[in-house]
Amino acid sequence: MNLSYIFDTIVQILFLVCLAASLNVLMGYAGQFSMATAAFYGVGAYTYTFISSEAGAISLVGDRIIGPGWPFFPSLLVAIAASMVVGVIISWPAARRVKGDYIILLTLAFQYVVQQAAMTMGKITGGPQGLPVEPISVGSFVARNPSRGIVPVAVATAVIVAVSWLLGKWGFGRLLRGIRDDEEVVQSLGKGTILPKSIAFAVSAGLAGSIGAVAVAYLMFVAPQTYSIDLAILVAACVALGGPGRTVGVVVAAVILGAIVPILTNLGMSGTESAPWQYVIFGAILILGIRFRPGGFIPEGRKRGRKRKIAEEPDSAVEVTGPESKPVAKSQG
Amino acid sequence: MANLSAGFVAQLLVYGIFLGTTYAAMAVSFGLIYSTTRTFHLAHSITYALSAYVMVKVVAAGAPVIVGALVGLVAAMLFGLALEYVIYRPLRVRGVKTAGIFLASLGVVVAGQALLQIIFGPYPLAIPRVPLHSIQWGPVAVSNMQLISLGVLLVSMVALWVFVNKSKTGHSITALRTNPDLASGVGIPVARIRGLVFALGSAIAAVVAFFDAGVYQANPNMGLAPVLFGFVGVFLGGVGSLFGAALGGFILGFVIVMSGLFAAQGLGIIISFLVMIAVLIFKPDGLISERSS
Repeated sequence: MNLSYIFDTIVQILFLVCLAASLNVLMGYAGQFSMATAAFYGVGAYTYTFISSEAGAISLVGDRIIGPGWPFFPSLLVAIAASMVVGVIISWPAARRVKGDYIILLTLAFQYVVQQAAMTMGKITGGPQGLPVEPISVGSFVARNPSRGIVPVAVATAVIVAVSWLLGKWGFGRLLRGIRDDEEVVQSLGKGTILPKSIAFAVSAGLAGSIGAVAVAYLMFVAPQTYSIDLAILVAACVALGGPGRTVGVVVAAVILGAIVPILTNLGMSGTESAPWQYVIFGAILILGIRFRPGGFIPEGRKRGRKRKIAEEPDSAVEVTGPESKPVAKSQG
Repeated sequence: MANLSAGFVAQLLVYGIFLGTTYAAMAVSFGLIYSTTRTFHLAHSITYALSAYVMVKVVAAGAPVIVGALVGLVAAMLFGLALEYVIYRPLRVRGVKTAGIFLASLGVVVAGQALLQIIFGPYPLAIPRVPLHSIQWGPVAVSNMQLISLGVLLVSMVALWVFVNKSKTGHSITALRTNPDLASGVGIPVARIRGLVFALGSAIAAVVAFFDAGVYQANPNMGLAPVLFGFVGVFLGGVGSLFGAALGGFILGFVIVMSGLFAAQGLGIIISFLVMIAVLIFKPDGLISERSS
């Protein structure tokens, strides 16, 4: 086991951490159940690929991909912008309907469509064979291997997690939580709910898209198989099991779930053998996790019939919410 | 741009009817469970795939095809019931809401697909000895299995509709669907009805799975797309109406096929989903609004 492998493993886990942090904004704060994270991840990835590919770059199947060939940071920004736009588009029908089931279907369908599009629109995306991608390059620093690549990935992770966490602390996070807990109350207070929800979608999508761009630049490769419903499920599990709204919990959950495959591999199971067992274990964790530690999904149900008040049950260890300014220390499970 | 000869259009129309009926059945099977129990039962895809594998194995062991189909049907019903009793009910009792139950269902999907792969192997398996003939009607070619599936699925859906609308138990299902809080108050055995709809929904999915595995193959992930199309059909047609679900599923399948007239292969699915999103924006309750209680 060499250093390069360790770095690469860490990087893969960091990708999951970022995705989980991005979904936490939507699912944890805003209470919007989204299965579209992997799709936003993919939009960022492919946008970066396209914008950064130099004129005439040839895909692995011989189609010529003509892109403007912009450097790393501008390409990254375009990728983020593209993801945010897509997030807003998705939020438009979703924000008008409070019903959770509708959003599940919408984001699930969107996720499926994006992956299908990536698979079939080979002229732009290179199809299932994937495309080579320009590596991360900042000034003279070009990351072509895990030892160098881990640095920008770690920086990106820190930024993303920080943004996700800060969003929860600021007033915007409180507003989102208010919407999550009791949308009608928020509306009766005179605050529109559609715009915050759209912003939440945009931010979540932007964060996922940003790490999407960084990820494919690190890997120097993009392929549609990555942006699957399975990945969306994995990310949703990280947020659900980590306790929606709790950035620390979500990060920990992502680290644990992301480490399953490397652990299995190092216990001696070969790649192809361990792959299905990884999913069995993950599925079991998910089922058992919901069963025994439902985290943020429980409180409304437990108080059946009673709307959960904003002041009750703050969802981070110490938090001041609602009209009563009493910090409540809450340790969870 | 496709060749727009009358023969080609006719072929697409016929195929559109077959696919539409298949998706209508999936929509009905999922919709029955969803509308009655409010469970976002994505694990339905595992029921689908499991029943197909059971059919494959039973027929491969020497049993006649029809016996294999029936065994798979029973397996599906039992599995659907098991999911309700072992997974969903304990969660519901503890007050877990839709999103949490959906995540548990996702857990079943993830673990289930992997287990199917471990148990049955990653390579697709077909139901052996299924008779496949092509029949020619003028410019249109159909297969015997397509015709049989059309008949069987239509009969199944009509039978279900009759059961739900004309029988006493069926009325209980409707009561539970339209007014869950009142249902137990008027003496309806809620738990038993829930189990019943899971069994019935799983049964219909098994019928679809039979034709899928019989004409094509069984593989661990085979259930996801049909169930997804079923979802879309239900929401398109309006939750709460079995006929609406069937209609929604049918339209979806039909549109996917007919879009082949002017778009490339894979785009059909994309187009139909975009159509669905558009419909849901302008008609959020679906094409057929829920019958009020």
